[in-house]
Amino acid sequence: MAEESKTIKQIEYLTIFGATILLFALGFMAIPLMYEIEDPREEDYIVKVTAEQWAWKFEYPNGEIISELNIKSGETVKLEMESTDVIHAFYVRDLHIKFDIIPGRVKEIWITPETPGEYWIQCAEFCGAFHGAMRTKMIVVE
Amino acid sequence: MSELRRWDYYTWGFIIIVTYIIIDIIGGGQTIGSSWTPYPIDNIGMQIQRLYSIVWLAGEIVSALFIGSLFWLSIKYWDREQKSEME
Repeated sequence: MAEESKTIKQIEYLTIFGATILLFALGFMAIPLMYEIEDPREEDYIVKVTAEQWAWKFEYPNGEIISELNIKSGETVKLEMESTDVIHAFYVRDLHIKFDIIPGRVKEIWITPETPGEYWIQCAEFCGAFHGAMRTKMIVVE
Repeated sequence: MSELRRWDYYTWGFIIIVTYIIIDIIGGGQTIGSSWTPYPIDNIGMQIQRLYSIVWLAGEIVSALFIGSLFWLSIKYWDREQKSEME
């Protein structure tokens, strides 16, 4: 019985320390990346993004405003994102990023897509009746 | 409740391993399917996916430990003498 209780204790310690080490290891790997995502990079140009119920607007440096995000592959683009009404979220599945856009604040992010193609930009924060339709495309050209 | 014998630990471990394999097959064999997480198109996305894969693997291992142990406990301590109440 004593032997069994010793073994069970060993299993308990193994589980507790194993889970702790795993969580800390994941934290150590994830935290620098979290900072890296939002770390300012030298951008090629700035695009102002306006999110509103239920559309996206992208304003380019030449003053042109369109409803799609066009980027050349390999270029670093700074997105200055604002919302005119409620909270929205800028979500690009293929970039693996999702950022909230809060009214009254400017959210800045830097992206450098490398693979040409068409990718969905979807609002990922419930923003009203047509939230599901609030999506557009990010077109990455060569 | 009887003491655990060496054989019990072997079956316990075996059931956990089998459960892990089943979970791994159901979960797509450690390759995250393009249907819901596409291949990342930039360097940061790649790093995020790498971390996500580790979390995925850890989740599979923890799930296998819990579900496998549950199966093993059910088999080990199943009271075979008890009569069905349906009769």
